[in-house]
Amino acid sequence: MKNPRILLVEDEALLRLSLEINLKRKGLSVETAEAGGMALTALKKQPYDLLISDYIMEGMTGIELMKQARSTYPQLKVIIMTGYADLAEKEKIMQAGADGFLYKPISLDNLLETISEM
Amino acid sequence: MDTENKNSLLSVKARLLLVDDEETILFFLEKLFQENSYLVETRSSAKEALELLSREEFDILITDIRMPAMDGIELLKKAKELQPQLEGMIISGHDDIDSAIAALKLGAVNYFRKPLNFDEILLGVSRCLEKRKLQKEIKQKDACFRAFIDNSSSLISIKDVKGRYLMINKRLEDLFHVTSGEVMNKTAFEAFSNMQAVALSAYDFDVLEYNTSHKFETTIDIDGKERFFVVNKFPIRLFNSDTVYAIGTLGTDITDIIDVRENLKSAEERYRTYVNSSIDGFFLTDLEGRFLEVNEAYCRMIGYSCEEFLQLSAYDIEAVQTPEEIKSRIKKIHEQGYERFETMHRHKTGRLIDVSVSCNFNPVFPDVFFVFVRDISEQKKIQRELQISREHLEKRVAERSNELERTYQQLLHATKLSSIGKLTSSIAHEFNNPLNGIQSVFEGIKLSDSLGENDLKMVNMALDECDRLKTLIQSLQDFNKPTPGVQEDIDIHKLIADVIALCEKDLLKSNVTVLKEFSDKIPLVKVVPDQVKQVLLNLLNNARDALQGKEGRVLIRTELRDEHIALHVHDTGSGITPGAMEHIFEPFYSTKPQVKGTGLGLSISYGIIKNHGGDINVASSPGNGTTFSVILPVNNYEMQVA
Repeated sequence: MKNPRILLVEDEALLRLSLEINLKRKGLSVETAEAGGMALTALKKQPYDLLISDYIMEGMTGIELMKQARSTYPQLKVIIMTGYADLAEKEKIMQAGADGFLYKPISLDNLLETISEM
Repeated sequence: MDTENKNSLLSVKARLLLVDDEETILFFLEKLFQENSYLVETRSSAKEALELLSREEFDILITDIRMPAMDGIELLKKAKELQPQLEGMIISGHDDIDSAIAALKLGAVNYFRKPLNFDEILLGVSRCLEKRKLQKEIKQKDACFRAFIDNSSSLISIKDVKGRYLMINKRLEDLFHVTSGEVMNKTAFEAFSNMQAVALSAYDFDVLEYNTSHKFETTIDIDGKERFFVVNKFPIRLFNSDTVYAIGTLGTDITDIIDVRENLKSAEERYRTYVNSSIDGFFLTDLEGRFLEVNEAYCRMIGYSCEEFLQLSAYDIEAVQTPEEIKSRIKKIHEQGYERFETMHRHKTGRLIDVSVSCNFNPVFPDVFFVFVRDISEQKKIQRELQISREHLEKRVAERSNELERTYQQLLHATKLSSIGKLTSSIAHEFNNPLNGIQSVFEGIKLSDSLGENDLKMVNMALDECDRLKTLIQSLQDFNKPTPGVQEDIDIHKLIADVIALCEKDLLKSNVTVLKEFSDKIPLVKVVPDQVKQVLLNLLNNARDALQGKEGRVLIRTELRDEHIALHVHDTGSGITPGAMEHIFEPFYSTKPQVKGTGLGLSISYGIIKNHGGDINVASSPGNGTTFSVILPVNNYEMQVA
C-alpha cells in the first residue's frame, strides 16, 4: 500500500504524539485520535486507508472501533496494538478481522514493516 | 469248808434272825451259824423279833412255830409285811405238819423238823441264799436287758409263734405312738394299720418255717412320711433247743442316713455338673500346686488329656511367673483365701494362652485349692488389635495432618505466586505504554538530521535501555502468561539434546560437564516445546551459576513415574539454603549477583510447568548440590489457555 492515509488511535498521549511524528518523518500521512469515538468522528469527515488502533481503550476497544468503521468502509485495513502478550488475545483479534497485530512496546521498524505488508 | 466258801462268795455276809422260845436251841443254832460266817441275831419272842425287824434288815428269818403270845406263822406274816424280800424258814415239831404247810403257803421257803439236823439246816440256808442271789442276778440282768432295749435307737420287738407281741421297746412305742400295754398279746394287724402291719410282719413266717434269721430293708409309712429300715428278724430258741419260742425283730431306722446319702449324692452330682458344664476351666490342686482334678473345659483349653494333666503341677503350665513367684502366690492364697490375677498358661503345643485365674482356698477343704481359669486370648487379641489399629489410626491421622499441612502450605505458596504473577503482569502492562512512548520519542529523535555524534550515542544508549526494559516487561508477562506456542507431541530426549546443543559451548566455557541418564521408557509428551526449552535452559543456567565457575557436573536424568515423566536436573554446586528454598519460585527473588539475574527464571519456569498440568520441585542441601525435578503428565493435558 503506497501512501496510505493512516488514522492512529492511541489513548497514551506520548506514544500517540511520538508515533505520529515518527511516521510523518518517514513520509507517511497520519492523523490521530485519542479514543474510538473521536476516531469515528474523524472517519465521518474523510476516508482513511489504514486504521492503527490500540486494543484496550476507554469507551470502546480497538475491535469495536474496527467493526463500526468497516460498516462505512468495508475495505479499511486495520492494525491492532496491544500491551498484553497473549496468544489467545492475538487469535481473538485476528479472528475478529484485523489485518495486523503488534505487541507493545512496538518499535518504529516493526510498525513500518507491518504497514508495508498491508 | 464248802458252805463257808459259798458264803464267802457273797459280797455281803448274810444276816440271819433266829427266833425260838427255847434258849438251848437258840444257843446251838447261833453257835452253828457263827461258825459258818453268818451274821446272826437271836430273839426269844416274836414281839422282840418284830421290833428288831422294824429297825434292821435281814436275809433270812428262822423261827419256831410254837411260841407263846405270837406263833411263828403270825411272825412270818408280819415280818413279810415289814420286809417283803425276807426269806422265812420254819422249825416245827413232829406233830406240826399242818402248821408247816400253812407256813409254806405264807411263803416260807423251807421247814426243819425237830429233832434238828444241823447239816440239813445249813444246807437249806445256803441253798436259799444261793437262790436269792440267782434271783437277784436275773433281776439285774433283766434290768440291764430292759435298759438296753429301751435305750436302743433301733426298734425292738418280740412276738410269739402266733405273731402276738410279747414285748416292744420304747423306741417302737414312741415311733408308732403306742404303749406296750396296747399291743401286748396282739398281732401286728390288730395293733397297727394294715400297711404298717404288712411291713412289720414281713418274713415272720420264714423265720418260723425255716428257723433262720432274715436281714432285709423295708419302708414303713409313719406319720405320712416314708421311713427306711434295715430289719433283722431272728428266731428265739429255748435252752439250745431247735424249737422256736419267739420271733425277735431288730429294726434300724436309716431314713436320716439315706437322706444324708441322697443329699450327698445329689450334691456331688451337682458339683460334677457345675464343673463339667462350665465354659471356664476348673481344676483342684494340692497345697504344692499339683493337680488333683480337672474339668473338660480346661483340658480342651490346655491341650492335655485329663490323665496327662493330672501328672503335672501349676509350675508346668504357668508361662509368665517364676517358680518363686508361684510359690509366694500359693502362700498368699493360703493366707487370704483367694486371689485373682491374669497370666499366661502354656498349651501342650507350647502356644501361650492369655488367662484370667481365680484361686480359692476354703478351710473346710484344707488340702486343696479351687482354681477357675478363663481363656481371655480373644479378649486380649481384640484389645491388642484395637491398640494397634488405634496407633495405626493415630499415625494415619498424623500423616494426613502433615500432608494437609503440606498441601495447605503449597496452596498458600501457589496462591502467593499466582497473585504476585497477576500483579507483576498488570504492572508490566502499565509500564508498556509509557515505555513505548519513550522509545518512540527516542526513535523520532534518532531520525533527526541535526543530531550530533554524542547525542546519537546517548539516544542509542537510551534505546538499548528501552530494549532491556522491554525484555524485562516481557519476562514479567511471561511469568503469568508465557510466550504463546502450540502444544506438540514431542520426544523429550530430543528436546533436551536441542537445549544442550544451544548452551553446551557456554557450559564448557564454565567448566561444566553435562551428563545424561535417559530412561528408555519415556513416551511422547504433549508440550509447548519452546516453553519447556525455556524451562530447561533456565535450570541449566541456574546449575551453571550454582557451580560459580568451579569445575562441576550437571546430570540430566529422565524417568517414567506412573502417569508422569520426571526430568531431573542435578548439579554438584553450592546447594540452596533452607531460607532461600522458601522463596525460590517467587519473582525477583535471586541470590545471584544483581547484574546476572532478574529473579524471574524460576518463577517463569514454575508458571510454564504449572500451565502444563505438571509440577516443579527442588531438593537441595547446602554443599551437596541441588536437584530440580520437572514433572509432566504423560496423558494429553489440555493446557489452560486463558
